[in-house]
Amino acid sequence: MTNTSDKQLIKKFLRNELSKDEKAAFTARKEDTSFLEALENEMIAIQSRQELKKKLQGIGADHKTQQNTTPKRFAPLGIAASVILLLGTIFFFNQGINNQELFEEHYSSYPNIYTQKGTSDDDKTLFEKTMILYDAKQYKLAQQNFETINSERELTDGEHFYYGITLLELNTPKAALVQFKNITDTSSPLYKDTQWYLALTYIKENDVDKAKVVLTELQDIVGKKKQEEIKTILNQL
Amino acid sequence: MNFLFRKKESYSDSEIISILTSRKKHEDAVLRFLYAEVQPSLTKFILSNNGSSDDVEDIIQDAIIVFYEKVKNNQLQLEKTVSGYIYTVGKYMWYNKLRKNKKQVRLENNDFSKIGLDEFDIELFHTNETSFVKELLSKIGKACQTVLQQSVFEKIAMDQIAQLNGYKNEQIARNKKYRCLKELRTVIEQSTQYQTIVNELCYD
Repeated sequence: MTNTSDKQLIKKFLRNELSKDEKAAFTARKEDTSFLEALENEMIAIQSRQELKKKLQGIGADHKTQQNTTPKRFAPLGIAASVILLLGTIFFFNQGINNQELFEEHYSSYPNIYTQKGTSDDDKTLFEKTMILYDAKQYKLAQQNFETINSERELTDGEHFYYGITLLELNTPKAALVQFKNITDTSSPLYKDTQWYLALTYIKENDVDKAKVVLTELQDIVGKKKQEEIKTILNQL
Repeated sequence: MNFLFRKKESYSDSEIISILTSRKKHEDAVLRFLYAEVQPSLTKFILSNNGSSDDVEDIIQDAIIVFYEKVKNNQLQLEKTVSGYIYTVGKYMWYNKLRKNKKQVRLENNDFSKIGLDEFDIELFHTNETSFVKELLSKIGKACQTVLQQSVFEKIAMDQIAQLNGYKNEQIARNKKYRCLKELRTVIEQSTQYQTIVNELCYD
């Protein structure tokens, strides 16, 4: 571990704040390997803190949005139920369904759960503004906003998720796959929803093997209704 | 977010430390949990002490970074709970900011040193430092930055670093790290900031 005076010299060197005496002390220490290692480690830590900060800014933005959100908890249940009914009908009448049709029958854009209440446009983050475009089905403009956010900082899970769906709406499934694959943390509240859309995207891409793998894994971690739905799709693939 | 598949995220203090220490894949979930845990208390504290909502966000993020780093470096001095620790760090950071802005707050070093912090911990980001480091590290390339961050800051084992970066084996990752550190040292020694100090003393 770095001793206090070395740490002070290093920090003041990096901040360009060394006094004349400190400059002499710094020069005297500059050949010492442990001092140089401590300097390098501090530089790497400074850069890493910046990146961790970006990640936490994303988490903060998610958290803020979540607090202002009116969740539409039952909308996805309705969608799921409709899909099961549709699937059953399709399976009964048309067992020769192709993957594109299978995708179309199952796919429905995810509801915007980031609906804001009582905030003026000035208070909204770029992501919140993007979600308004998403709601208005202005997917091309939403995509441009997601690109801007992505160029400024790391996207949050929520942003990757809606960016992926936006790209599906723009009929660019390959690009959507990239976004969905970014959500890998199984404890993320979005993980199961993402896996669902990932599987649908593979179906759209005619990548049946990968779709089957994702759906089979998903089957084990979802509720009974969803399990039935997945079972029906797997039978059709 | 209340999605169809929502799962409650909740971690005990020992789980938080264990996940951050061993870099399990739930690390992001732990950070989200910590953010939600400390947000109400730090918001209340900062807003009632001349702060804005932007200040709140900033302090929460910086306090979590200090906690994260202390855990990674095995330097955490935990007196009470994890969220209590982060709250205390945030409180000191805010006092320090007020003091710097001449808002007449007394902050003695021994206050924050009680929980193992120093003056640099409570002022985590410094503009000169950040831009200098960014400029120098950009010269060693992204691949080098990644390997060094994974090894030095995130404390990931070399075999895992090899896997994460697609190197054939642990030894190749070690060699890469060695070369990157060597490059970094050259970049430091060639920097104007470094050369100025060395030359200044030579001509004195």
